[in-house]
Amino acid sequence: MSAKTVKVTINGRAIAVPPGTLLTDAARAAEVHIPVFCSHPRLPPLGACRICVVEVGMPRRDRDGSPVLGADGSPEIAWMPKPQTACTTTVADGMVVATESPGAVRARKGVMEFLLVNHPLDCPVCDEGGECQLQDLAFAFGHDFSRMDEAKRTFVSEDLGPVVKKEANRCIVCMRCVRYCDEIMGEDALTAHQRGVRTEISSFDRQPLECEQCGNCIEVCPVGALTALPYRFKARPWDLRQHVTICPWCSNGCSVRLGVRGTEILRARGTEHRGVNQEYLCARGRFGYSFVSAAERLTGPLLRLGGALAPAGFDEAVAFTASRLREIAARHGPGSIAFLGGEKLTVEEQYLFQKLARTLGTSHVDARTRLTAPLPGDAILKATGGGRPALSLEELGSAGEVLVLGDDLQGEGPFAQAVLIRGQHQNGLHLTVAHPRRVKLARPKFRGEWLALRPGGEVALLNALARAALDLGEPQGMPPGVAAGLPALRQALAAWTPEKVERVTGIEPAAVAAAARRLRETPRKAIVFGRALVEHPQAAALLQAVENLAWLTGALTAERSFVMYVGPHSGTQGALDMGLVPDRLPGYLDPADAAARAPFEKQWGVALPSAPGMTAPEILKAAAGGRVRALWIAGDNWLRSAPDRALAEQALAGAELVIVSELFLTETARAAHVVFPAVSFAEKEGVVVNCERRLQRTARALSPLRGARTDRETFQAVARALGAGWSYRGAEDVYREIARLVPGYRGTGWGTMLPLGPRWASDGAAAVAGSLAPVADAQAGPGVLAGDGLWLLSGGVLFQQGSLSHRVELLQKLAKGARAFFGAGELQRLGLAEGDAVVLEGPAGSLTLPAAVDDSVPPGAVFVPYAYPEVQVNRLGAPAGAGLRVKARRAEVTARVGA
Amino acid sequence: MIKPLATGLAVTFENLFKKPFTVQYPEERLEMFPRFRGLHILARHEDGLERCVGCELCAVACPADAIFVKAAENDADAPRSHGERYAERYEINMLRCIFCGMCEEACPEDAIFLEKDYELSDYRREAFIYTKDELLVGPEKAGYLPQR
Ligand code: SF4
Ligand code: SF4
Ligand code: SF4
Ligand code: FES
Repeated sequence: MSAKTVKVTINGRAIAVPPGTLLTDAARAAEVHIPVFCSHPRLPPLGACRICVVEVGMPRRDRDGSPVLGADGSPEIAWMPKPQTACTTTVADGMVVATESPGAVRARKGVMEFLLVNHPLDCPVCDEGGECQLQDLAFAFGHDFSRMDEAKRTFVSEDLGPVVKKEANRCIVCMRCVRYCDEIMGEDALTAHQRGVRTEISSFDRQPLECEQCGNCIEVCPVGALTALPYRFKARPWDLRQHVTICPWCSNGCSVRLGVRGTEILRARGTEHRGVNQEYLCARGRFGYSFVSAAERLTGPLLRLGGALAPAGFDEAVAFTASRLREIAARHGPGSIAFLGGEKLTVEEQYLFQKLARTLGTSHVDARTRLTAPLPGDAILKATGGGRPALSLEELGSAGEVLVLGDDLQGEGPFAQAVLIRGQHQNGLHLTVAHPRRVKLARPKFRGEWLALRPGGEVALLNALARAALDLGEPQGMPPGVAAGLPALRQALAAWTPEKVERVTGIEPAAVAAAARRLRETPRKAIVFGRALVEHPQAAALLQAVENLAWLTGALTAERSFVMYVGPHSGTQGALDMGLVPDRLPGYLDPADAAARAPFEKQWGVALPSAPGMTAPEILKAAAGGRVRALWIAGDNWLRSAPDRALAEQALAGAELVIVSELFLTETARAAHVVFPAVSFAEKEGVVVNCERRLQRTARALSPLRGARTDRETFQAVARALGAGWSYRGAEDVYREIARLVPGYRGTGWGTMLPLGPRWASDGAAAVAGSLAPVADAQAGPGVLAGDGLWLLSGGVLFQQGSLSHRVELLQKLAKGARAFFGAGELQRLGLAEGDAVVLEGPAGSLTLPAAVDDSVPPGAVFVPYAYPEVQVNRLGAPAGAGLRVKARRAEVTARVGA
Repeated sequence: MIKPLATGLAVTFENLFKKPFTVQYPEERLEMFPRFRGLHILARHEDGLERCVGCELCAVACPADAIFVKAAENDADAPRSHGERYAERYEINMLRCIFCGMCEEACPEDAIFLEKDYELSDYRREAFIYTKDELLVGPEKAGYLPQR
């Protein structure tokens, strides 16, 4: 930031602000209130509503440039003849502003009178009442009578889809909704019909909105013209206790403000001035809270003593669990016990979960249940810079070039997507999206480049990009340890000729070269990847390939990392940090290193296993094969998340003891011997880590459902029953232990996390040393890509995110039921029409779904979002090699679909 | 000594022949003044619809936090009030109420009034939470507004 400032005087207060500052912002700095309606911090100035009018002047100057002094010796001010809008006026040196002069006050009153000409007096029935900016400002600045006795203009009120209610009579035409939807959501779903006093906001075709249903238009509307249907007439703002906590729906970690009346959450909103997201929330975050009060929540432990699961007391369930665990450990050794899941827990619970496992003497602990192949526990950290200061979401939005690899951020990280769209609109950010489908960010409207990656071509594409980047010259900024790998890499990359790459990936060499050039030559760049790479059968190779590309293009340097992993769950990063992986202790410490083990052994009072345990896919196989006898699954519907459902079913059926900690009686919980009722995000305190590695505190908005226990209490009770002397009185106690033992977390505490927590970075250069290494493509041999059948593309979608969204009626409605999506051409080739039931046959099983057309799906592929309740993609078989091929045919009986 | 005694007895005798001040409640009842503030009523429009729209301004104005309102949306075919919104639940806790009349003053719809009824007694505390059924006037009183 340049040190240059200009001096302005607002209502007699002189302040210095950077040039280019808007008067509204300067006034805020001077602690002078200027009312606004249309101006919004995340949107460029528009000047539509005129409520911010102020009087502006400059010192009068002589011909020789010297200020003219008045009779009293102070400089004379040349006031502009008319009041100016503060939200569109930038400061100038010496500027004088008056917000309370008679002229300014009169102008403001005049504007207010005009705004109220057509505004109905229906505050008593309006949901905005009590938090309406028009109400507040009319109260503060308006007249207490109206000179207008003409009839007001009227419009018909409309439901614009299931979440937005429009009452156009109340609209003051500030255009915030239209601009937000366009510039930040990239949806362009709203528009202004007609002109002047007849202006009416609606969808283009006046039909229900077919948009992301984020409700951000409602959030930014300063009046009650747009209100939320799910919250309609539910309460007044003063009825609600507001609790700011962290959204549980993805790894972006948005702050949400829950409004609670009695024991029920009535709404969720953004936070306006804090949180990584400020006012933004996606449909899941804003409307997905209702699972918390779902009637099917578990309200007590369940125990399978005879044949069926039956309610049991907590102490009884704990005693049973402990004695069975002890028995199995004694009979088959602790290595026959495995701990799975935990990506939805708080950091404290994750820490205790692995502590419990390791105290029992097993290292078979893995939160990454969707992995299809073993992956080192620090692989993701290594690919994202090994603990170097991480890329923040804010930096992401101001980057010049961003490469999004393999994931549809609309489903996986909706806020990250909004950040990129806003960056594209407002900061000239350029997007390169490598994805088999033309996902939202790859649409032409965002003026980026879509690398239409053929499934199975992931390694090839990354290698090709690396090679192209290397062709542009010697890479800079690599630490020596990394640079040592360069010769070998260079040699290996030589094999990836443009022709070969085009054959495997289907992408033109020129497009690859251009993408590499942009990434290398743009000063501020970022690489974003997600579960698509991590859950790929070649995950380890792909993560190394991402790292290679990052070093070669400067997205990783010795000081900084500009690579971000947008994981699937709110606790994905925390699970890695807390050692919910079989080969790393909390803080990515190597259990084979006695010095790293020592502090944990001392604190926990046990000897820790030094050998790494099995990863989730290995545990799956071992459990199905009878080598793992006991499983504890926390917050994970394993039957759906495991890569192979048949194996998972076999494992659950064969295990001697299955313990499940869950909110609901999921399919997995139904197969358990012990079910512990857990509490939701709104009922517990703790810390979660988002995708920018920011530590954030969650707050307790509700007391826990009667009968349910936090996982912390459950883990502690079982540990105590097993003889461990745990005595944490609350989650904060656990966090103190974490902050003492875990390297990146040292020095942090709950107190340091409000309003926005710190982002953790490793103390020294890097927690995990980086490397450049050749990456072979296990799949690229001829024949693999030539198989027959359709590529099965699966992925997350916005309105469905696993087992929790199945319990949210509104999300179910928005998601419109499971379908199998084909490109129009493909559907025709198959002789199918939209809506026909289609059978997808994989190597292990089949699925029947209605067919639907989606032009983002490439030829030769079918897209099946996995998260719908009726879809069990993992029934088709585990992705072998680069992906899964399925055969599609018309269903014989067109009767019940999805059964 | 005799003089003060006579003065005192004079007062006694005077009052002995005056009309009594007290009334024989419950056989006999006083008429309340127009602005007396007793038990609340919820009024109806002339057409029989409820005046209250469930805006909760009474609840927020109440210094004793005695009012609970939960609004809901009118069924367009069988509306309960004018407009889109009505009070699904309307409760006043008479043990908390201090009969200040703020609710009446705050109401933008002229729906809540403190009426003349002062006979508030019961054996159970719960009975003092007056629900909407108890507060809302009957259809025969449609259009009735207390005089102030
Ligand atoms: S809900 Fe979101 S996407 Fe839909 S119109 Fe409103 S701002 Fe646009
Ligand atoms: S609907 Fe609301 S946000 Fe949109 S133009 Fe009207 S007043 Fe502004
Ligand atoms: S009379 Fe006063 S105390 Fe009683 S309900 Fe009304 S506002 Fe509350
Ligand atoms: S806030 Fe300045 S014109 Fe609307």
